Amino acid sequence: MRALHADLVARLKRGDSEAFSELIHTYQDRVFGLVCRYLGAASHEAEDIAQEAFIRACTRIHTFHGDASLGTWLYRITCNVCLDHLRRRQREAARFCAEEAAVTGRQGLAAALQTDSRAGPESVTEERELRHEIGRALMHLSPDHRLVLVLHDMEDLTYEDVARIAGCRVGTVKSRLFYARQQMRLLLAEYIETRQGE
Amino acid sequence: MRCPKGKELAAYIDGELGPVRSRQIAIHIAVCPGCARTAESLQAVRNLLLSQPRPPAGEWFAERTASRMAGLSLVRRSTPLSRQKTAAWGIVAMLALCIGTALIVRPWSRPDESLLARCVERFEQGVEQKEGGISLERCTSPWDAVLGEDVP
Repeated sequence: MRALHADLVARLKRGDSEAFSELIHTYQDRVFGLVCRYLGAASHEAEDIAQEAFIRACTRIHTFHGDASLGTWLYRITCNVCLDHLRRRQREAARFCAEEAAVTGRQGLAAALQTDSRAGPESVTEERELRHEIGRALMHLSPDHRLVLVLHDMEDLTYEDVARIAGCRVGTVKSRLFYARQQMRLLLAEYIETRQGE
Repeated sequence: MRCPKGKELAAYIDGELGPVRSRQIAIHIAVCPGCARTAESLQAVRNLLLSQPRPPAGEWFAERTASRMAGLSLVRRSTPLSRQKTAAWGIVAMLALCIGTALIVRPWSRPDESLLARCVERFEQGVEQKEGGISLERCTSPWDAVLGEDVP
């Protein structure tokens, strides 16, 4: 696997278009999934951001030295693109609406998701409703806690990889994870109890 | 044993603790209803989140991304010769063709010696050449004197 990645990285560094195509095909779902979950973005917006992540990876491939896996490195780039996007959203909100300036980006996102989930709850299936509720609950967490929770509990990465991506220590990952799960337990109490009862 | 910290409980349910510490916490949870409840709820959250399918990228995501990259000229095709090399080879080929053509054509366009001698003679005699509206007085070289003649 490492050898395969080494070959892919070497081709990426040469600017081989087929290698980039291979990279996109291998990681597109992971990158897109992370963007959707971390930003709570609609699919067209998430696609735009995921594309941006791949483009940034393409322009910065020379900075990849193989200290972490290619996937971890790509996750980190995706996180940085997402953070840039969050900051941009906040700046735009501050510029166009003085009232909204007081509202944090995550509250704005949560409100957007709330509006979305109100659009015909009868028409959505239970699973879809649960997905919406999880998305909404995630938006109530701070970006730091959300990132750790998404990477560990949803993307199934190890503590070490999460620490590398989030740029913090493993101990911090553990604390954030505990706090984030506690919050999610409160926010999703109804669904968790239903699941446990089944 | 005192109740473990929250982050230790999280690591316990993730199986990230060493065997000794893990066993200690397992023993504690068995006798502490508060920690047992917390561990159970943390595990439930983790199970719920893990059970969620990852939203897949759109069907043409890879193609759209690749075309966006190509539009930004970030990647090049994996052919053996790059564009610059191809252009350089094209210029070299053109130059070779021009030089070759010049070498082949030049002897044919050179007038024979007798014609050249006749031209010089006429120029020295000052014969006025009116054909073509050019007078010999204004000629600067013998070649102007034969403007009216057919040069092979």
